[in-house]
Amino acid sequence: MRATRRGMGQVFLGLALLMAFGAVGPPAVQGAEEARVGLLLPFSGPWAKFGNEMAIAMEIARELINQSGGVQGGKQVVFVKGDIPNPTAATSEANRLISQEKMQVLLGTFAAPLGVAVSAVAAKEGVVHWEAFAGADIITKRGSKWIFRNGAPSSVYGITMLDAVREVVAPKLGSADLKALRIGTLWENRPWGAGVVEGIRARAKELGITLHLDEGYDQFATDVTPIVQKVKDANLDVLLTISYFNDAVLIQKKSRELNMYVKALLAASAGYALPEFAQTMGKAANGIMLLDLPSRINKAGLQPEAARLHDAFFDTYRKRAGHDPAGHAVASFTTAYLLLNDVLRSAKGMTAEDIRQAALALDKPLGFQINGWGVKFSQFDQPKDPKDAGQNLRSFVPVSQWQDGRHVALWPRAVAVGEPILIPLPTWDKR
Amino acid sequence: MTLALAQLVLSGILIGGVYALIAVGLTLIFGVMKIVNFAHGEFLMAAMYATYWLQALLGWDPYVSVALVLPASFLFGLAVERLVIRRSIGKPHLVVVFATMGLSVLMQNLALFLWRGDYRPVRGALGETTWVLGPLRMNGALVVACAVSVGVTLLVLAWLRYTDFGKGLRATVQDRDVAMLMGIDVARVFSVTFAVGTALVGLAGALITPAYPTYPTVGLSFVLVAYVIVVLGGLGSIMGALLGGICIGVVESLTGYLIATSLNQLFSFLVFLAVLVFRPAGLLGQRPATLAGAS
Repeated sequence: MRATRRGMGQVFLGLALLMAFGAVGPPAVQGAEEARVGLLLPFSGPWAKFGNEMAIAMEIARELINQSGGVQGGKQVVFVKGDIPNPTAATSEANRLISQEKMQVLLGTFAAPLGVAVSAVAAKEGVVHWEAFAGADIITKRGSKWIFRNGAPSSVYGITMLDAVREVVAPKLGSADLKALRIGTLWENRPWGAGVVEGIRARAKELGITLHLDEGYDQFATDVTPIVQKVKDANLDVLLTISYFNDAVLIQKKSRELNMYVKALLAASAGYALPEFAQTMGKAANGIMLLDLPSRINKAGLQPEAARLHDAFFDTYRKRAGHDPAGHAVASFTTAYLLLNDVLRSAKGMTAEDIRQAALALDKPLGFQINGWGVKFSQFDQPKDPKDAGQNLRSFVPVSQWQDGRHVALWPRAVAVGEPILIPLPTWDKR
Repeated sequence: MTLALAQLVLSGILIGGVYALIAVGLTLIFGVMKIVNFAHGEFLMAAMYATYWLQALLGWDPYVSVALVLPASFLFGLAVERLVIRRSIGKPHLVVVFATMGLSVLMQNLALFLWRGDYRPVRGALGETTWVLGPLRMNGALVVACAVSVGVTLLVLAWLRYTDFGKGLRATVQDRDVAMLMGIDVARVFSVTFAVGTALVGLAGALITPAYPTYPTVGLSFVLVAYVIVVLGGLGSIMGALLGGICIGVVESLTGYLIATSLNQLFSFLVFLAVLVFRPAGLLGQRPATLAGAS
């Protein structure tokens, strides 16, 4: 009996270890007819939800490519996966994929700290890092020629926030002059939030606006009373906020509890934009404006091939995940598809230099990708920022709004599908 | 300003009550068994998922679910004690550290595997109710959790002080070998202690679901604070855990507002360091701080 018990205990602990490292999966066997791409995503840890949804989207891209003949003369694309729940794991997994698996291109990664870690390794090793949307500006400003990012950097979110206040919010509040509005910002204090707020500050300076609150907070705080009380004290008309999910929900619930009211709330992803946010907050989510990776935009602005791909992806994703793809899933699909279809299919071979050359040759207008983005990468040719290389100059951040549980794109007008509502927001007793 | 401070102190007390309920189970287990349970946060997470599923599948209100989650947590605690904890007691300290850490990783990843990383909100049950007391406002779910925390702490203290089992338990804390010579079934004391500690964190899990969304790593954000509280209150001191919880809640709330919201955890850990330096036995702990329930 004792031996059995001991055995069970060992099985138990063995399982624990297996579960801890299981997400990585066995290394793929290298074959002549394969094009191998490293896939680094947070499959476990606090960002697992995003990592797993991104993986579903990227797998759909891979399957579409393989079904239509693969790349470079019929090679089937294989993803060699690494689990990167945190920056330390990101560094070690990137090194592992490069040194042991001999990867020439790494696809990923989700959050800013992960993208920063992987890009540092890729830059050092001379391997292409094909980033979807991890926001930190530094990722493409290292002076390295090996990094490419499809989505906009975080500062663009901040700049777009104030532009949206000027174009969409201020007219509705009957205030032609931005300086007459009390605007403030509340941001989670890790690289993502700190990066977006840099953009807000820079744009505020250009526009001559004073920020009446500029407060960073810890996204893992369990008690958000001090945070919300500070916003309440600042007596703002417009709050620009950057949050993950848990903090977004806690802050909104606490705002209701403490009756902290602002006339307009603009939130940069990821938290406020998730479907779960609207499920949790119910009607109270209506009217909150979102700056997120584009998800549901006006398809009229897409090129025919992109519109076809858009429908194919949305249908398959819905079947696999059980819900519509959020912006991060759409961006993941299109980033992977861009790499496999437009870069690898036209590259001479699978070396990092071949991939880089093919990427730099891309020059497509807005509407080329399924989320409305075009593609043209910077390459040490930006007068304002000569070190910038590999940033897609034709990705933008649309402004949308929660309307009855759905994102409705409002701005820029080219991708808009509806009109703004609930500006100013109703007071808490009417939500 | 005074009003804002009063609101912050009130909110701090309420969240502190929640911390305390989590910490009481942890300190009870430590005080009696001398083990640190690194899977305590995952026990919280498991109870939160149970409450979530009872609502999602059967439409149960979280306060109704307590009737099932509490005994289920107790049984789960018994099972874990039999399968994992019992065989690591009396071995080098690292064995139990790795055993409970392994359990923590297993549970976190099992939750991730079964239910993905999605955030699962539980609605209703006072989570969206605000009670207004003059100019002060408070969340209904947190008021209930805090009140239950105080009530349960007093019940646990009474259980330890006035029942035969409680006396046996305290005897075990004082000297395990002598307790055994006196005919106390120490293995049973350990089993029940671990199960009660798990039931308490299960209760906390069910009670906080209306206020906090459920996801696989939710335990981490609470349990770190719980460790601080256990040390602050005095390792093994039940009353210390309650006072320590409220103390940390208020410190976090006030320093967050008055100094910097981004640093609120820093101050909890500063208090933690100060206690280790100036009063290593904790606020209510004894030296050695082992007399569970006696303080």
